Amino acid sequence: MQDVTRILEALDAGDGAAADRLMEVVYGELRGLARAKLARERPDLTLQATALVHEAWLRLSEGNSQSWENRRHFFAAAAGAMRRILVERARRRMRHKHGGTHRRIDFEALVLSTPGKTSVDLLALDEALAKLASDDERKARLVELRYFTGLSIPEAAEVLGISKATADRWWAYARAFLFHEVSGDE
Amino acid sequence: MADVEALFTAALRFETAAQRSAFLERACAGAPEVRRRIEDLLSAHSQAGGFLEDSAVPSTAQAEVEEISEGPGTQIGNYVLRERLGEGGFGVVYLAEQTEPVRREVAIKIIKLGMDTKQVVARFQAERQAQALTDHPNIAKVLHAGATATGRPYYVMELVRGLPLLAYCDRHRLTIAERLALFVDICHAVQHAHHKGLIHRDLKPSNVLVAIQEGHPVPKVIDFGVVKATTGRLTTMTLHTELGQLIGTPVYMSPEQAELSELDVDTRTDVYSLGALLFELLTGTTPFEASRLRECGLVEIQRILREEDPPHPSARVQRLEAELSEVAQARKLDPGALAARLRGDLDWIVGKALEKDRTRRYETPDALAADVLRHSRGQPVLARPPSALYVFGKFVRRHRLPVFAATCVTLALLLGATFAAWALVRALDARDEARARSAFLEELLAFRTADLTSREFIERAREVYGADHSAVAAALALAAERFEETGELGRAEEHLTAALELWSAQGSAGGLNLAHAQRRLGGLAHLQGRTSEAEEHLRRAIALGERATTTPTRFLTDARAELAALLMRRAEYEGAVNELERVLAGRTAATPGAHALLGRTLEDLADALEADGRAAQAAERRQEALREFGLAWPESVMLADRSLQMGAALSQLPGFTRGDASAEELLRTGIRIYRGNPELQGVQYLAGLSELIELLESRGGGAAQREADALHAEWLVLLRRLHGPDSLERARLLEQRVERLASRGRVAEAARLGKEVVEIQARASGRPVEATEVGPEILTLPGRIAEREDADPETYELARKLLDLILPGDTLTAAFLALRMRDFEHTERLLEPAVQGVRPEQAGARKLLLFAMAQTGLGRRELARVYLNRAREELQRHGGIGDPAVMALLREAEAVIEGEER
Repeated sequence: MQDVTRILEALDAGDGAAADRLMEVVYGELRGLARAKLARERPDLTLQATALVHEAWLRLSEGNSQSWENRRHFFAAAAGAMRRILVERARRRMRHKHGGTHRRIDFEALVLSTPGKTSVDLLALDEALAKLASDDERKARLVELRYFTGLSIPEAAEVLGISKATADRWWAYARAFLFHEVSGDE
Repeated sequence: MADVEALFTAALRFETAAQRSAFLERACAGAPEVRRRIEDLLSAHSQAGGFLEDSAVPSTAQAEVEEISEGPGTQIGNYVLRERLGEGGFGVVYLAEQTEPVRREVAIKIIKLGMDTKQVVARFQAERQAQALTDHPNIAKVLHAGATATGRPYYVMELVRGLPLLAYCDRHRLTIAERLALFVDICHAVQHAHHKGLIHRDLKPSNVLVAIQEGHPVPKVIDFGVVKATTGRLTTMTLHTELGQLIGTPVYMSPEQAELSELDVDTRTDVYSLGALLFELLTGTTPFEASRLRECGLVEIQRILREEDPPHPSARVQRLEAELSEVAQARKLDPGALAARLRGDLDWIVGKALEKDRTRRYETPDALAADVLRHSRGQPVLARPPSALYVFGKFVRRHRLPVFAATCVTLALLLGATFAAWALVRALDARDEARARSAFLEELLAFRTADLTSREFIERAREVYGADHSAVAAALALAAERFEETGELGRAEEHLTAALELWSAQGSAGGLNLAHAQRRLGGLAHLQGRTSEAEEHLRRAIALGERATTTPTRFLTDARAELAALLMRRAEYEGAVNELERVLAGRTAATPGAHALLGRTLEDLADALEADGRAAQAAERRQEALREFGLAWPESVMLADRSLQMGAALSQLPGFTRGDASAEELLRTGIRIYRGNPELQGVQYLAGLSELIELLESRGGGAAQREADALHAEWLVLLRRLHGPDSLERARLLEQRVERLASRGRVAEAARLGKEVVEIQARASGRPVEATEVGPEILTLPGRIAEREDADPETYELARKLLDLILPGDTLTAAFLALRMRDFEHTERLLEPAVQGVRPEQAGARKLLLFAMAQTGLGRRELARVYLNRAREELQRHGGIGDPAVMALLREAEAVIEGEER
């Protein structure tokens, strides 16, 4: 936690690069947690993103009550990290499809179940999100929080420090933007 | 492209495609690309369906819940399901018939969580063992637990034929007093379970059924131990996973429980839930609106529970609007009387039970019940917090200002607000406008003006009152008061400042109103931590009050008391003392018989004097305060608490000698009163006992020690009863006692309690013993015992056991203790690797000395002398000489080895 505390302090002091460092730490923690879960528990266990993220937070903060501001930074970083984990998995799957030879246990695939009703092309979504982010960084953050960590709109609004009404508005716009991108320009 | 988003959002507001298209036609004239872009987005929006709405990973709300296949007729063990009684977050409840060994009806709850059945059942069994101990008329017994053929956990409960608590109370139109009586029973039941080490964790009205036994309503708490059994794999992971189920009723959940840090939940979480339950029994509604919490996600719920203060019950019922008359009727009260019935004691009691910070809550369900009982008997309740600073913090929410109360008592009662009533009454006198005004008044009271800014409010009020600025100002002030109640302090300030401006414009006619407004603004600024601004307001209020000829003393003294509290907060103690002395003079003159008020004032003054470094004067004031309290509440626990507090304060005073009689006298007075009220013995009494024990022990002497021992035994029993056997609070208090016992050389008792502390901590935290946090007093205790030559074998044995628990790797102390127990071979075995290792010079003088003594014990005198010499060299080399403990050991070894030689 020494690390995380220092990074959070740097973030508070306005050090932009600290956000990336935080995401690295959180990313490692989330992957490690998922792997440990898998080793310890039943292999068909499905972890939930929100639960995973909360546990990562509890571990990284080691039970110290961190400020709300720090929680906020953390959730933002966790959303980014979850996105990366899922997108990397999608990439790996693509490679497997195109003639990957050795099969190995893809732990994230076991741990993080795919969406049930609507299937989304994660790689296309990732690209579209990057495009949205270049227009408006914070709307992309909102989508990450909502889609990759399972926060509700009010929760995501709180993490971003915006009102629920604004978040609703942004969500409608971002969803239309991304759907338009993903469904491909005719 | 920022335009695109704004236009897109705007276009979405139109319902039909034609309207949108017309809108875009106008809005995007001359910018066809923008228009095309927006139309693309709009079409994407309409086609997107559920795109991204399901998270990429399942959220907590979608936790897997399989359908339950068991139904009426299904046989489970010795039970046949008969009829479905209900369904909750956890499972389905059936009425079932037991066939063997006796035929009887029971309730069976089948759990529907998709979780590891074996573990749950094992846990149920463990819980059931605790349950077997739970024999209380107000707790529904759990009879059996197992798994169904499909592998689903279930448990069998005593069948309670009755209605859920709220339904029962409302159907039978129980009065507030009758409801409180039921509530006290519920508290006692929960307390009983706490004694057995069980925390309920999901107390809510639907978990309390009311059965009729011999014509009397008997509440029964159900589902004890169930939450723990289903979520109790002590990993935080599980808790989150099951959150979907748990969060079903966050309205009754304590802030710490919602934080999901399982380790941090203790019996006081149930006290909070009892507070929420009491709130609903009284008001028919929950502290936080269930509908609102249901809409929030976890993070938001946590924030609300952590940060938002619930309204007082009396304030809450005033906002019930349409439901008010129904709620009041169900309590056999007039709508207007309900708030008045709740205001004061019951507001305070509920508030104390619902404190965010659990250390400010009632310590136990019994303490909560005791306060409710005090209220029912018309005795003063403890919930009213004693310190002036705290009272002041809360005081702004309450209605005061008795200067106007005399002129409009009736309306004041109706409004629950006195400040503005006077002006409004006057305004109402003009009959031709009465209708419009009473309509406005109603609007104000129902707080339908909550959305207006102060400017809009003034406009609205002017429509009604015309040029009567004073009435407009009074209406503003009333609105401000409502904002205070709902905790919107900024808006309260805005309205009050507007009122202040109107009154200022009236010149001297507004004088007293101005003074009141300034005082309230001071209170609001203080509440929000802007102390220097608060001070300015209060000083202005006092100056205005002094100038107005008709100002009653009460206004000035109260304003000065607030100023004093503020000065205390700003650490300007001398100023606080000066103000408080004037307050005291004012109150003594104006209200000579108000002993409790005078007592509190004297106490505040004593606090200020003490803070200012005038301890002797403070002590005098405390004695005077105590006299007043004695007159106010003769032989009551209120007096007992003060006596105990003051006795403790006196005995901790620097320069206090243990022979000082007054501290002891005070402690004895408090203890005597409590002994006459055994059902009220709580944490205050517990603290008083330990203070007197300390005092007697330090005085010493046979008689004093015997009395201290007897009190110590009583203290231990009460500690267990109040905090339960396995609470961390019990561990903490025991640890303090260990410290004192050890410092008095009573190491055997210290070691015994120390061992218990460690074991409680391990049990309470669910962590292995070595991972618990043990204070230095206990950590060093085995070593300190080992250093003593005079302890008896049992004490050494106790120390060894304690050491095994807390520091199993500490071979030095272990060897030392083995030596003390004359187990020389074991001593040798433990030390051999160190003293004969590759680098023996690092073994350290202590180990060498112990080893030498063990050799003597084994009859190898020559070898012993070799190691003794090595130890001497070691001491020379590393400068161990000077460490008294090591030197004492050296002398001991020399005596043992050379003594035997001679």
